[in-house]
Amino acid sequence: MIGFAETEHIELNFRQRWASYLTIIVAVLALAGGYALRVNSLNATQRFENKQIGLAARYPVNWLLEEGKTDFVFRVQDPAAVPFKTTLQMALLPFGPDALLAEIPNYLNITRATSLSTYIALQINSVTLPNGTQGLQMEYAYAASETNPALQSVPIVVRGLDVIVLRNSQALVITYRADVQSFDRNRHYFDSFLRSLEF
Amino acid sequence: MRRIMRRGMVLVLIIILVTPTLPIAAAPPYQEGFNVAKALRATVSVTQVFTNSRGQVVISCVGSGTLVSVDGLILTNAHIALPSPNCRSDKLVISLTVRTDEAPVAKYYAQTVGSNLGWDLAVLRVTSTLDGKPVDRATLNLPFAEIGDSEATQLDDTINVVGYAISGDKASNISQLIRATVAGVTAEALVGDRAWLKTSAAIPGSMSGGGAYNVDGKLIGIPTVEPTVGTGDTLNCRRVQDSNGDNRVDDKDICIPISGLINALRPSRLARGLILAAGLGITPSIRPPTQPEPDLTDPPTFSRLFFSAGVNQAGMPSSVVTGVPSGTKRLYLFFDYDNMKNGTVYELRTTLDGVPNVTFSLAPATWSGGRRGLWYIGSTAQIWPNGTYDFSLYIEGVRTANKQITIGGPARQDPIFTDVLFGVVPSDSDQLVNTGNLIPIDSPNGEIHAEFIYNNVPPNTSWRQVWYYEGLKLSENTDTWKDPVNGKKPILAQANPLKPGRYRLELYLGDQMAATSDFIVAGKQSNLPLPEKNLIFKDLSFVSEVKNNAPVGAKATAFTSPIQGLYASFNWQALGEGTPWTWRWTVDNNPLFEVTQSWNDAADGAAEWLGFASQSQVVDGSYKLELLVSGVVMSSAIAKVGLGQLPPTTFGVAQGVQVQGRITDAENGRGISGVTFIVIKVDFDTHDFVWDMSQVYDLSFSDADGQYTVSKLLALEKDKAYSIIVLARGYLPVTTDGLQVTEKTKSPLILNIALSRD
Repeated sequence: MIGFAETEHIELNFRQRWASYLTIIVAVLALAGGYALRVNSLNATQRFENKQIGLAARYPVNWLLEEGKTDFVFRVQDPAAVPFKTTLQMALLPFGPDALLAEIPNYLNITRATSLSTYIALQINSVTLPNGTQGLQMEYAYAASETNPALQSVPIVVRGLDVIVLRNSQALVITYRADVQSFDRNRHYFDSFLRSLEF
Repeated sequence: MRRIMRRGMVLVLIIILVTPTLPIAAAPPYQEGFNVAKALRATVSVTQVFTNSRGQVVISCVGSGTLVSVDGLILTNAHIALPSPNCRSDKLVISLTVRTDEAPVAKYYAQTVGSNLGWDLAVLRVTSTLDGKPVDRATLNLPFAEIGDSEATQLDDTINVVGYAISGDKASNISQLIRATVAGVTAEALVGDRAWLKTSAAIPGSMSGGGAYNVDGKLIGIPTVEPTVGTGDTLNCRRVQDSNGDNRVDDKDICIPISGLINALRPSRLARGLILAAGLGITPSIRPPTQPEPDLTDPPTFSRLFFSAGVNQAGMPSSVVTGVPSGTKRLYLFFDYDNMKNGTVYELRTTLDGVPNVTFSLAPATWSGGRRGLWYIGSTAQIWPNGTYDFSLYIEGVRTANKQITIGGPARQDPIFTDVLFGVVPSDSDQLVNTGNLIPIDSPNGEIHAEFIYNNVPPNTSWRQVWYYEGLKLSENTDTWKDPVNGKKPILAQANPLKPGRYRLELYLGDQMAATSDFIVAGKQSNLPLPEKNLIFKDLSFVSEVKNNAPVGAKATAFTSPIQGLYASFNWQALGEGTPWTWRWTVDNNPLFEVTQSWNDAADGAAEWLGFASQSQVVDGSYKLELLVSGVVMSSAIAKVGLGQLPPTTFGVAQGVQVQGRITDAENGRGISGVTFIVIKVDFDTHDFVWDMSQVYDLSFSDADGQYTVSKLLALEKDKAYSIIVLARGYLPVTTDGLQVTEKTKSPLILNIALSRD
């Protein structure tokens, strides 16, 4: 005959009980800390500053920085983004003192149409930057094609957003580009960038 | 960041060095220095297209070409690049070899930036993408072939011919490689003894314009054959498109010419000048003719076919032979031509004892000798087998003339006349001073002096000398031989007044022509030493501008950069209309342009000009112009531009290793699109990398299939190593240091990488 031993209920003492509670708390805190660390890490930014032209801003860490090219003064791209590399860019375009802010989108459209495939301007609105500067905001789209002739890819539909402000006899064009699926999801990078912008 | 990278990293890096996949199973991947994949990737397909009245793009001709520079210069045949009655075109489409086992992919439009119709060579430049966007040449980074030394190619050398073959199997429109050996060397007037390299293999005609490589992987020849469309039942073309928009494809539609089999290569030596000029961005120009070209109403003809065992510097036969002994290596077929037009297709078909012989034939080639004169085709590289040869000449596919010769037996001791020379006899001497095949118009008393060598001529043999001027008999003298059996004999003709133009001497033994030579009367004697003693061209000088068809500006021999063009101006005297003359430009002793054409102006005059214009500015260098008549330099001068020396980068060939491969998902093996492949400069490693482009050597993004190619070649860096980062959202990044490039590293270096999911 098989007998069942009566289970003896052992009461945890105070120390043991608090040890268990503490373990759970530490585990939860560790998870929360890890999450916070991850969020921090993903949203961490670093400062870019060009004193010569008087521009400064913060951009996401681990984005690839490129400076001083002929068509932009600053550009960062997310190298891990797939398929299109999400881009933040600043360009300074010289304009005469008589130039109107409204003329600059037209100039951008004309020049981009010659270099970007199926380029189309979507909408142009007024915008106020976080520092109070008045400007224009232009949305556009184009198809980014593979430039390396040895590779073959379906063109990517890219959506772009320019914020244009006049600064002395220059137009500052701040650009955000992402593939059309990621555009809204990654928009916060651009918003943070604009908030940190000093010029 | 580094810690994050390290912590998150689970490396599933599979770096496999593999040789590229070959479309031709029989061909091994590498043979000594020859890299099959590199040659295939440098091969392009060239398509001529035009837009018809309905706005439809119509393909009119197709051929092959070879990329010869990283920024998009393409070497091909002139008949593939230039529009013609059989190849109507307003655009050239360039298709690249993206995958070596797949059909070419149309990528660019190109323009012809240099050509030589006679050599059937042209250089194209990639100008825009198919959607009309101009290409940035500085960033093209195209695979290309290096030009080799075609003069070093010997009989029986192994060569690899690459091009696009369209044959009965239409699916075979991929770049093909055909192994062959050099089976012969063909001589041709205006080019010389090594005008063509003959191959042992029969190469499909659509590979015309492609490349032939030596075992070191250098381009030494361009497979060349002119298509002969033919008519009626012999029509040799393909109708593939409804070119007139009537919804059916019939004989009213464009027929794309098909070339016959190729067994001849134009040596790459001939292309060097064209490529250099295209690289320097210069195109030649010459004053337009003051007299219109005469209309050619009579049909073209070849006549007076004969054979010679040698050719002199002026392209004239050293002798006339009716048979040659066993062991003969040099034999030339000479013939007169009349009413020919540059661009006409001609051909030589040879049979040996009734069996077609491709080695001593010349496949359809482009005519470039002008309207009339004396032409030759020959072979000098190998012993002619014994037998009876029939040489048949064709014009546009129609047999025009033929001549037979028997080779074999011992050397005979027949009487012969050889080596006719022309010259002047100075008043203080009775010795002929050889002036080549050129006599000044002011030769005393209108005398034309000549001498020739004779051997085995028995006494009292009947012999005859006949002199011609521009095809008309000037004098004829028949005599019996009174000189010794062997020796050198002077002869003389007189024409008063002696007119400038083309003359001919024929010498006969009995009724058989024993020797003949054409010569030119031009220019006047001067006090200068030979060859300048005969002065045709005078006052050769340089200017940097031409306006209203006249050279303007200060004459100089040195010019300060920048100048947009360089032009030579000169005066001339006693140069008869139709006389062939040659102008040749070199820069720092490298050939640029060489053109032989008929003089089409008055006999005397001033301010003729020729030169070249640059798209931007003339590159620094020492530019030399030579003016030749009868193969002799009659005048030359040098102009220095800027530093007087080409920039050191002019002949620079990109050295290094190309990195390419495929990035896949480690779970399912599928290619991942849009992955970033970063090569970090040798001065940094992955730990030093701070995500700044100034630290990046080059980067590439994978395509839809996961394929990537790093455009910038990895330079050889002794004792230093590159680092690599590969990353894509959703996958664990891969980093590695220590990628060394040594002299033994094969290019392309294939790095296939499998990424694990995050």
